[in-house]
Amino acid sequence: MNYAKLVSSLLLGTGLLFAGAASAQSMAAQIEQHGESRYVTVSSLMAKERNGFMAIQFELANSDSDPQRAFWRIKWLDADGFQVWDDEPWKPVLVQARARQNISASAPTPKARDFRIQFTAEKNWSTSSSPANYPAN
Amino acid sequence: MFVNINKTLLGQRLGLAAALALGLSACVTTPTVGSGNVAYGDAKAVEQVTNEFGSTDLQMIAETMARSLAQSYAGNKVKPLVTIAEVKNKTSEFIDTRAITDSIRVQLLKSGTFRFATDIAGMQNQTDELIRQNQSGMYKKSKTAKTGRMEGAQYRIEGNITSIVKRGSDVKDVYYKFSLIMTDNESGVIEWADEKEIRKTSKR
Repeated sequence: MNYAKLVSSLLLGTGLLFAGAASAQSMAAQIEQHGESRYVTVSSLMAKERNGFMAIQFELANSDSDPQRAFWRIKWLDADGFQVWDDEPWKPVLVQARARQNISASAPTPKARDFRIQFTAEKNWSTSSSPANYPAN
Repeated sequence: MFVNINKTLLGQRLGLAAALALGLSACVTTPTVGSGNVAYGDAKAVEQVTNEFGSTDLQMIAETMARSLAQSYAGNKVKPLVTIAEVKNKTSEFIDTRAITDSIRVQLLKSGTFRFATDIAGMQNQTDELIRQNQSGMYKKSKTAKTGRMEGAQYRIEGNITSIVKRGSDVKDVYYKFSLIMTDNESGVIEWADEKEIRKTSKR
């Protein structure tokens, strides 16, 4: 995947999700990107366990000279890959020009042992795939 | 020659199957009623119809608050018993704050980190049911829910939502702040607090 080339780091706190050294490929496996974002990319990802709940933090990087909008949500899975929580609402985020922004999220249930970040940007190389009812494209 | 006959038969059969498939597909309809002017949408989509308080705001607030609260108390061996008090709407809009606290309660219960005592809004139904079971004379004494055994909540959750609205010549900016606190009912100590900010801007 293209965004994998833009990855700067992937740090995993507990080794709960992956064994061994983290890599761009393992981060890419955690991200379901809808469309190919033109400017906003997931540049790093961390995960750890806090009080029995998974906590993750990822960074969005905007390479454009204008602020850009993106949308994200997380799919929480158990160790076998079954979804353990309802679909989350899509969340809008505005990343300032040439800036990086951290997004933190914690699992809704201790049953969650894995996750997928669903991510899409307002401006993609192809057609827009923003999850808005009325996108402002 | 034998091969040719078989090919002809095969062709006929394939033609028949194709015709059947075509006929069937023409008959297939979606299980809907109506003229097609109504469509179901994605309840989790980002709602940007207007910049008033909307479904995405409600969902994001409830999720943020529930996750923060759940994670703060996840280490407890005993699930705290809490009740939800009022969330005051200090904005100029009508916002059903009960819908927000209902969502928070659902998420906390599903997470398995909290128990909820009957709140003020549910108290009438609770007492009516106890009175019905204990005073109507229609129930076995051994099978009735006894009075005087309700559990008082250790904590109460309450908060408020405020907004700042600014209008320029071509821009309307709305800033929402949702604050929630959890107070120990006995000591009066605020044990947890969090807030969620949302900014929405629209061009006029």
